[in-house]
Amino acid sequence: MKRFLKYKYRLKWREQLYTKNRTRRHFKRKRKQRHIRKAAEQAKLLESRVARSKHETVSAPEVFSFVTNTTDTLAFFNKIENLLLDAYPIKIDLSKVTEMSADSLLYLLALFDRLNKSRKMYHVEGNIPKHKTAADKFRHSGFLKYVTANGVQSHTSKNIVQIYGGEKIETRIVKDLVKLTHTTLGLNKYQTMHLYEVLIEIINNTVHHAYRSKDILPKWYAYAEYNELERSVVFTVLDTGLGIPATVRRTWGEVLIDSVRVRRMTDSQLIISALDGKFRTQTNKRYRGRGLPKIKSAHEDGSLTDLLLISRKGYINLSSGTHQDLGVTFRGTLYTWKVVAQ
Amino acid sequence: MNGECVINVAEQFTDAPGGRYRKDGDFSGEEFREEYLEKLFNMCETLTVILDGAYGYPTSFLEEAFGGLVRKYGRSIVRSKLKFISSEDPLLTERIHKYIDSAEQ
Repeated sequence: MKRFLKYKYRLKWREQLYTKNRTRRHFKRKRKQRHIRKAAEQAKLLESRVARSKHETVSAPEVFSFVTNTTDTLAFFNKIENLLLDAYPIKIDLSKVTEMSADSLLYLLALFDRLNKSRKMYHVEGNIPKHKTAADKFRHSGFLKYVTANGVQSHTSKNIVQIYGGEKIETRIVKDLVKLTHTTLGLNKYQTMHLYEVLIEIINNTVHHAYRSKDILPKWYAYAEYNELERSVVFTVLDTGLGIPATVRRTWGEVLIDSVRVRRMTDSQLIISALDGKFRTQTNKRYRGRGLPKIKSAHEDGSLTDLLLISRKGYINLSSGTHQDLGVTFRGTLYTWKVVAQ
Repeated sequence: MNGECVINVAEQFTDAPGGRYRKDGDFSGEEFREEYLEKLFNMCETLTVILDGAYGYPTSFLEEAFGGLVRKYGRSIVRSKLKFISSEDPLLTERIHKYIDSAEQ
């Protein structure tokens, strides 16, 4: 039914184009006007709701982490995004959070960034966790540098490389991330060569493949933290692009199967295929598409441990060798792994 | 034409090589090839590239620098002119030769 309506709509559009002597530009202009009108209505609605203090409170799950609580964290973000799109001012309640990882904060920043880029008006307020460890982590993460914080101060630590958001490959930042393993775990340049290469490859993938539109600048976020108990450094890198499954090249056979909707490759299967080095680069150049296999090989040789990759609906845990498809779409690609003392 | 030339990547270019193209950011493979490799490659009979001292060599950097050279000048001349020294990571030389061999001309 949906397909039929779409077809009918297209027919109407074409009929009008030729019979009523209307140009494509006319329809484009109309669409733009509709878009501006809707945005203005939504901004007005948002302002009135803020004035009447009609905030919607959204509570974060106790375990606020994509790594250990993927489903609930994703559901929380989904709720936030839907409310923001419906022009609701929201209050993010982190007070009940007892455990958090940087990935959720990176995702929150990325969400704000996406809204800024789409020039959408939004109003978000929030608090910090009551739990001491979670609150410390929040203050040290560097998240507060990116938002207006009243009375809450951001702290720094020599055991943390705070959240950094970049648009190009910035080797200076990558060097800082790698150096954290030198100062905390006592590793040297040679021992961290794979780590450096993997970080550059991930950022390179973001810059080249994560965004199709030329209007949207690619953006990535990175964070690293030393875990004293485990004697490891945890790395988190996130991009909010289209995700690996949406940007890899599909074979003609796969496109055909997708079109008849009999059986399609799931997102996790597509990611595994790209990690295995099957010819998936959208550039169609044989000498490209080596970034993801490099990440996998660095995990296999033990340079990285506990590697987790989430992209769209694909959830890949390379350490346990498991993969699954999530019920809700993760916008972008998240990589997280550990480097342990040797 | 000069005889033998030597280039130390970490000392003369950067100890933190970047991505593939200039537009991706600083210290890219394209920048290294155009600003350093190609100039010496055209000037010298043989060119020794010292790879020690860097934080690492991303795949895209190596492929664009050396694979790009093959795409421009041909595989045989690149193979005969270039030599690599990597005492810190002996496998690195092998990797570069792989990119040279698999580069599309």
